[in-house]
Amino acid sequence: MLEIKDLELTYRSTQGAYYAVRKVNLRIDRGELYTLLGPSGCGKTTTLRCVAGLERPDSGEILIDGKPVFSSRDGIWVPPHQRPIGMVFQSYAIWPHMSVFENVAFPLRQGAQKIRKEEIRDRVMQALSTVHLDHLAERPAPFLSGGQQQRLALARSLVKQPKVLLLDEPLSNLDAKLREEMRLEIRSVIERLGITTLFVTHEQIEALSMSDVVAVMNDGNIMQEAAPKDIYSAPTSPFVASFIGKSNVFAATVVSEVAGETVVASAIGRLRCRSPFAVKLGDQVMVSVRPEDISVAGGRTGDSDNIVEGALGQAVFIGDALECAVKVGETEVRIKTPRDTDLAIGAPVSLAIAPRHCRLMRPH
Amino acid sequence: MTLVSPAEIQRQPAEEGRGLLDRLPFDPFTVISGAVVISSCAVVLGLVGIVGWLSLVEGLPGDAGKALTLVNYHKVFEDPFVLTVLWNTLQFCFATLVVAMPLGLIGAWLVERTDFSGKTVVLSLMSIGLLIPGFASAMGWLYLLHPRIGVVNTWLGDLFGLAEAPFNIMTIAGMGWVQGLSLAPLIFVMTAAVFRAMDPSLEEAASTHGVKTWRVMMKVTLPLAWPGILAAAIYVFVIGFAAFDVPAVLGWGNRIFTFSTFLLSVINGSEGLPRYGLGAALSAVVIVIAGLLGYLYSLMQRKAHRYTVVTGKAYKPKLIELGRWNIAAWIGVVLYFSFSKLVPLVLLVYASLLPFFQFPSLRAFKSMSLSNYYSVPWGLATEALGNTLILMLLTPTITLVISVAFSWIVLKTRAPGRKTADFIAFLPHAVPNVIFGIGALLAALYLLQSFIPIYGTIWLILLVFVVARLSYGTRMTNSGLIQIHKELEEAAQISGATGFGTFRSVILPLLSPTLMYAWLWIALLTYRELTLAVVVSSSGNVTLPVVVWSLWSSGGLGRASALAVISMLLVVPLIVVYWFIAKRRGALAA
Repeated sequence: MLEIKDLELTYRSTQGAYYAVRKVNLRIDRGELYTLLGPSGCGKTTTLRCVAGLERPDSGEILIDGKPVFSSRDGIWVPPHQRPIGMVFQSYAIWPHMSVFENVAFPLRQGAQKIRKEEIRDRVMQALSTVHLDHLAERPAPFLSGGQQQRLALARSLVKQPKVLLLDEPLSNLDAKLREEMRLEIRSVIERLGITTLFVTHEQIEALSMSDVVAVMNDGNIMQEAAPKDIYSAPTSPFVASFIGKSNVFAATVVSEVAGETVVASAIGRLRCRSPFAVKLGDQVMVSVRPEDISVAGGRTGDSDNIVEGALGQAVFIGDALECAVKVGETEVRIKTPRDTDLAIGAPVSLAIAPRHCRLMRPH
Repeated sequence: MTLVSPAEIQRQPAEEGRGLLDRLPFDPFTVISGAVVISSCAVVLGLVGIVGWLSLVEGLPGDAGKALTLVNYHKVFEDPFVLTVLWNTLQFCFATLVVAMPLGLIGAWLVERTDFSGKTVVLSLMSIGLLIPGFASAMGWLYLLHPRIGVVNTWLGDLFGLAEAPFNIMTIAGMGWVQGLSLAPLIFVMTAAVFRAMDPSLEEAASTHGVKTWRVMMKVTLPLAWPGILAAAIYVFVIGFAAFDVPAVLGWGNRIFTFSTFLLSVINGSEGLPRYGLGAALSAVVIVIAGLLGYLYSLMQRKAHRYTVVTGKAYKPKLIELGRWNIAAWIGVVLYFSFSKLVPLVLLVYASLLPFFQFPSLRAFKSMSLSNYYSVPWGLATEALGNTLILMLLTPTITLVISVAFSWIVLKTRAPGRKTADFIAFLPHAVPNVIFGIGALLAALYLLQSFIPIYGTIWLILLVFVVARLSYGTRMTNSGLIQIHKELEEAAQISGATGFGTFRSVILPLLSPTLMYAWLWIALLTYRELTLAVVVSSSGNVTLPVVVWSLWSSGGLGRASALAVISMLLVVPLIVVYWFIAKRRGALAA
């Protein structure tokens, strides 16, 4: 179990101080895979490095299985080599002067307590077979392919049986095909071992497909934390809405609020919405609608759908679908429709949007 | 606080069982490195400082408590002979540059920018060329162009019935010629790096716009390389101040002094009492000159970095096709190496076999014998060889240990003053080395003698050698350490390695090729080093080059030549090893 409380870290330079991490709080239960997702510079890697002990935070607390490894209040600082963690680096950080076996054996050979040779051998081979590398144990580490190096890094991080596994953008150096494969493999190894994992990535697809919980970070803050499905379907801020998947986001004003159904006036007209929070008349809000939740209304629509009239501005064929920009007044609405939809540029289209797909968010 | 199960306690005995050192707030390895860095900086600054201090003391500074005075500076600027020496030195530096610059530049351009077929040959000979002692080629040149006995002069004189010798090597211009030939490799190494770092797309951009090749060179290549070239020029100019071998061999006998040789004559009292005050004041003046040049140098370096446009792209620049000029380039290369190394060395060997030097003739060949080799003072020579070998082992080892400590502190910690430490380690590059020699000599004589009697021992030489190589050593370890990805080190920490454990098991093995290469290079430079050794040596701590020099300066040209030949033969195996290591590192391929 990993807990981070009120973590803060500021970088100071000649230009002044800037927050890399501000008041980050999170809790990862035993065996859970928790992902920090965000654009570069959002503080996700810094947070992870604080857990590893490679960065020293200014204030806050980090607890592993309830034991503090850092606490500004109690003056506790455990150096990285004494923390019960394993880590896979973005560059894999495979030591090129050692063999595959020696790379994995290294963590076992450190520390005051001496482990018997046979036990080292057994544990290394076991870790290697977990990632299907046992047949390459004697190979010099630089003679591995990218994917194999990735697995080796994983085996090395697991061999000490750490309490927390840290993954720092581990897939970003792989090509697309291998990346897909490794996503599944890492997920299954972690599931099998039941190890508490903190995963950092800027790829939403990795975050959504591998995690139990996804936290979107921006500017040193955690913006939203939820299960992958929830964070995709129910973003609570414009940033999350457009960072995960694509979203049309409009400013709007609440014009009526009746029995769970809210009506807002927006740049594309009046929309009936679901509001996840309490609103009152005249409130300034934001509406987000995902392009794939907007359909082209071919005459018959559900009674409850919002209908928006516009003109097709542009259509781009992307293989499995058409991505279109529809002009509604001065505003452009992006939609994604089946690839066989019959559309002509400049022709009028009516768009149908179910109220449950119009998500209200607080502005800012 | 959660309860910890017994099983968990068992799995974690390491945390409780760690030693005292691990509980310290600082990593002990870093603390030791810091101590090494601080004391090394103190030594470097101390050596410069003592020169400054003694320049302000009149007479022999043996008795303390003397008032400070500027009288030594008055002597420097009022003695016409001292001014002549300074003027000589400037001319000498300039002549050196005029000879070395075109040769080195053309070589670098051939290797980096053309399809010249002899690149490995040039690269090998250039680096080996730096290892051939300057005094050996200077001796050879003396035999070639001595106004009375020089082979070329005699031959031309006989051929054309000249009354006077056409060439005289024992002049400032002659010294500059010889020194320039032997420093061309340095210009080569420094400017080749500039050419290599340049983004070829800048040149390609020009040529795709229809600019002719030679105009691209003049308008794009040269202006881009200019700061780097200027930096190399300044460096070689400063070396001119420190050069001892060539001016000593060619000028000592006729009292044509440059800064280094004059400094030595002043401090070892070859004309009366040692005049340490004057030597120190002269050194201080040169430190100021070198400081200005060093400042210029750093400006140029910064500009060069701004220009290098390091893209990290692995594009090979388009090479200029030499075509028929390939042969011309070969001829040039052969001529350069013949003149700078081969011919002087052949003459040196020839002279070492003769009882006295004479024009090659049947009679001369008949009189050849090994008698010079027999009459070398072998007792002294073997003692000197022993000293030299000890220095060859210790100088690179200690230099690199200190350099690693510097790089660790400068690059891997956030210690305050780390930038300053790096600058101080770089000082021996900017200040003529001979000044560190003088500083060490004065410190040993007047400050340390009573409690650390280091004067007259090889430890004094060792100290000066280490200081002199510190800038090279730290540049090598800095670049070696930068190339080791930070995450490799962090991965070791995460794996449970302490600071020292990380260093020993990850950084040191990855740094070792760089260290081995630098070790060998420093060892080879130590073997040939005359300048510094001659400054701090006395009867008890001679090195091999010092014995050669003292034989030569006392008139035993034949025996000096014989010992020079022997000392060069001895180092051949090591040069071969160096060549193989350099080749494996890829240092000999363009």
